[in-house]
Amino acid sequence: MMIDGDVADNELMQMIGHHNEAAMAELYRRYGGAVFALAARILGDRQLAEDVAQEVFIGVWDNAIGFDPTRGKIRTLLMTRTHGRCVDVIRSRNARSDREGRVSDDRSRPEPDAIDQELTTLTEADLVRKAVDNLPLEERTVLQLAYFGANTYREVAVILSLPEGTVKTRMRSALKRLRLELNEQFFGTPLLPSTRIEAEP
Amino acid sequence: MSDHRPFDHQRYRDLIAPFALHALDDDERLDVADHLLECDLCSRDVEEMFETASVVALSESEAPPAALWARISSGMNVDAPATSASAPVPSQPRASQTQPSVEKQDRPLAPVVDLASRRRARPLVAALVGAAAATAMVIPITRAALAPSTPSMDVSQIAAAQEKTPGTKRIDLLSTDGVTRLGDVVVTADGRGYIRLDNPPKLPDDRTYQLWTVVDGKPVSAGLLGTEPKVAAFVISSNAAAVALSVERSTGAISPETGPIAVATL
Repeated sequence: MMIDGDVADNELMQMIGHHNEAAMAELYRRYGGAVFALAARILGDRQLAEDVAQEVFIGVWDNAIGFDPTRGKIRTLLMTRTHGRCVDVIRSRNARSDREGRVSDDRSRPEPDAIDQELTTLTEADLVRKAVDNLPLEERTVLQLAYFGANTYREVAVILSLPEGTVKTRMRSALKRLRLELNEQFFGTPLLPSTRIEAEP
Repeated sequence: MSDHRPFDHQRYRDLIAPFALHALDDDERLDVADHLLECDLCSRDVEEMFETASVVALSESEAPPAALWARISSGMNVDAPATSASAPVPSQPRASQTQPSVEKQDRPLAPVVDLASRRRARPLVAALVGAAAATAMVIPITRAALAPSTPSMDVSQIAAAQEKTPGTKRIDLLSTDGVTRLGDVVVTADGRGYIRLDNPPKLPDDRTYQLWTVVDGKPVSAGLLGTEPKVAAFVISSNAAAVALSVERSTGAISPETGPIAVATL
């Protein structure tokens, strides 16, 4: 059975909650690339990225019946879960020697049936990349060190020789600025009063 | 609403963004999670930040390996009763404190523990609480992000001007055998430093020059200089004994992973 690509994520989750495999396949079609790519970027290890992606999606399969769409979007849950899991992995190992040269040189060509998915997500990826690129350099650096580097804010402060308070403020400002920049395309919700950019201490 | 005092609330509020980026140490992360149980304001804030961070993830996208779906589908147990859990369970904290380093091929993923069960937080917050302990030592970052924010010419001019300021020292940056001069370091009396390099070899893209100050016998990162630095500004402690330069991975390092290639003894 095929699932219509127009079915909303929340409906998919309801179906997955009843162990509808076609719905799960559709969820994977929508987000499998982003989950895997995020894990591969952070971990620098495609095999390990597959492990994390598998764990994340199996977690959804096993727990979807209780998913409440009023609590947030499945995209948020998937990507946050993936990111948190990768951070766990990074911080539970000393992977310095493993990461070298492992990120991009073994990328396989997309399978034919995955090309549509990649094209679909490219537009979103471009939008996000552009928004990230438009951040002030100091905010972008902090965001990338933390989000893709799996560093704590204290570690970012050490690396950049900055006060910890400055790093925390830049993290906040970066997220707020991205929220403003991408609100229309991705969120479409009224902004919280707290969504304002604050001066550094 | 939280019964924390306003001072505490502000402290927690400052930690919300690092929390959403999984950039807190374990103790702070759990502390913030506890605060979120009680504070609707911070909970709404962190939900929004989780959502924004999840979009940052979308900047990375590629078709996953064809075998991945087969792995996932083979792990989907259709006979097991669906659970009533609200979301994929959050990750086990402190993993690095309880597990030894493991080799790449067969390393198991850290265990997963349901923190949500002990929480009565806003559900999404409870579901998203994750991330673990604090031994991350590698930092992927794009070269663009490493570029100095100040144009080289400006820093160079500033360094030259500072040289003439009373109390400023200029020290040759020498190779570790003391034979070859590779540049110099200018250190002002108020703790500003400038490094000027004489045409250093361009590094491959997966490497960066990293600057260190040596304080109390320990190297302290003073910044990443990129693959072909000329001049850069940094901050230096008054009790720094030396400035050193090393070549590290492009991701930088918390502590030097290679020996220094040049040293300026202050």
